[in-house]
Amino acid sequence: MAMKEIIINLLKPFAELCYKFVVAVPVRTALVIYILVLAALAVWVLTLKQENPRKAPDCSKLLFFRDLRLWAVLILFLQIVIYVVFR
Amino acid sequence: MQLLKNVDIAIILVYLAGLLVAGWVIGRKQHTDRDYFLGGRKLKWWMVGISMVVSDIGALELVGVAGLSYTVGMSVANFDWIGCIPAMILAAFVFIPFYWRSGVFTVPEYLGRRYNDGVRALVAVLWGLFMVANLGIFLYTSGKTLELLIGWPFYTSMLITAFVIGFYTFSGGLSAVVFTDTIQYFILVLGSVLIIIIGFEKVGGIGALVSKVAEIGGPQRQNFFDLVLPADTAGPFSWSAVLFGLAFVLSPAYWIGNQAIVQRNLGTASERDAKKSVLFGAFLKLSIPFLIVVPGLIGFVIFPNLQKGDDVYPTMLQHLLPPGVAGLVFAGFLAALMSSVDSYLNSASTLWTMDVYRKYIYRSADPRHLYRVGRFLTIVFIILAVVLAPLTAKFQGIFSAMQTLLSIFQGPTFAILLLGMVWKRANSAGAIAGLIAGVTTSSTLFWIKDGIFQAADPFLYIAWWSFVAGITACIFVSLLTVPKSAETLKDLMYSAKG
Repeated sequence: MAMKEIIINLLKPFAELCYKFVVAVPVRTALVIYILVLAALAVWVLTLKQENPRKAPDCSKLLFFRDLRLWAVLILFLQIVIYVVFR
Repeated sequence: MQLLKNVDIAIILVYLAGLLVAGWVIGRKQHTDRDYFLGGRKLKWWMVGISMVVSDIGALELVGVAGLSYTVGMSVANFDWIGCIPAMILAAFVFIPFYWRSGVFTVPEYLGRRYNDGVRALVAVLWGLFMVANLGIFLYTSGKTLELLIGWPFYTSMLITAFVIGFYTFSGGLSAVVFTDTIQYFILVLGSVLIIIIGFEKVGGIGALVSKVAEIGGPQRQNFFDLVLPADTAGPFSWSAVLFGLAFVLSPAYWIGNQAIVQRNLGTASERDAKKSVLFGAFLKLSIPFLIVVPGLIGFVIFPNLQKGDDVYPTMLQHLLPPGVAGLVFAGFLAALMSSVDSYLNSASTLWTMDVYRKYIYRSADPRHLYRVGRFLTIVFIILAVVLAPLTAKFQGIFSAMQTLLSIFQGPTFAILLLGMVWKRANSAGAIAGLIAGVTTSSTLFWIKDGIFQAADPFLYIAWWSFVAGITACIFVSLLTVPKSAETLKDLMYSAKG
């Protein structure tokens, strides 16, 4: 038991600091953080050069439908809309 | 007491018979380990996407998520939204194509190539044990539910479920799992849509649902329809826990490191199909909360005085649906249950065959031999699950410990998987240090959780800190030890340049 108390006392100040930090963030800001994470992921996906269908030797004329990056961005966009609507 | 009518039971029996026939037909074309464990790498991407999603739902989730939404409201949907979508996008573009290209059967096999056999064995055994124990829990749930709703004795119910799942998984391997999952998805969706339509009709629509919750929910449920909850929320789903523990750690660990999920992506016909399968799964995931969370919200208005939130789904099945429809919805419930069991059964057999049997017992085994071993282990594991299932009731502590074990090792496993994929300096000494530091951190935090965390059930925070410890230790030890040569890392790491 003594060991448990020692560890708790050791970690408690750091745990409280973290708790105070996240509690200070308003829910509206947290929502913005969620949306930024999703948006950042969408931007990252668009920068993936090797996913560009124009690089493929057998690329067809339907380039839009072949580009998986755009489908991923569409999914992330829908996800952002859901978070904006439901909050 | 029997809660379903004869017409409902007839629908369920037809459904079960259909699964047996499907397994038998698919199994006739299989001869090798690749056929059995990876569907001959001929699986359709859209079926794999569906299969990923329906296997993730499971009957425990169907009851549990509906129960949680009954208790805490809409925030449970985070598990399917920010708790899935980003991880699935990451999996689609970074991890899954990589596994597919390297031709591995299992995630530990990749770790073995990237680090060493010790890391592979450790992760394979942890996952292998967890999967077999989980099979027992799934069968116990099915036995209890069938006993309650159909009136069959517990053992009869459990044995029937075990026989059906065991037969089609034994016969058809991953192909049968994916095919039956696809059928099960449509039945599950149909069942959920029916329960939502009938439920909304009873409540009076979405507007009435919101106003009635405000009326009868009281101050405890003032955030009932909110997705993002403040950090000082008493429950486990505050915005910070969801973001750090779920979205950044547990979810990627699940969609990228869980063999039962990843295996079906490896069975697609091409690397592009593997990516498409995950993206399609992510697209379907957008709709899942509407199917499994909304019934719990509706249930709160219709049955506000239930003892336990988990009772809401069976109660709605029992009191809301007319004969015939109840059979369909129950078949959907059964579908969710079976899709989890068959996935875990097939993956447990794959892990033990490829990472233990082939690696340590019979290295020169040919594909036909491994195919036979895989099928044999499928029978062994379903029998083992039948034996373990009744113990779930007697020794619940052990099985909760198994569940806890998963959240203990998922963060560290994901840490070494991520570093192994993106950081060339990560080596086997760092990986083992990362696993040990991560598991020690999560075990310690579970031990002292009441003393330092404010939230009631802080498993998401614990997952986050175990991941941080795993990453830190892996980086630190890797920098202090000899790196792997660039030649041995060829084709084992991700490059954004392609």
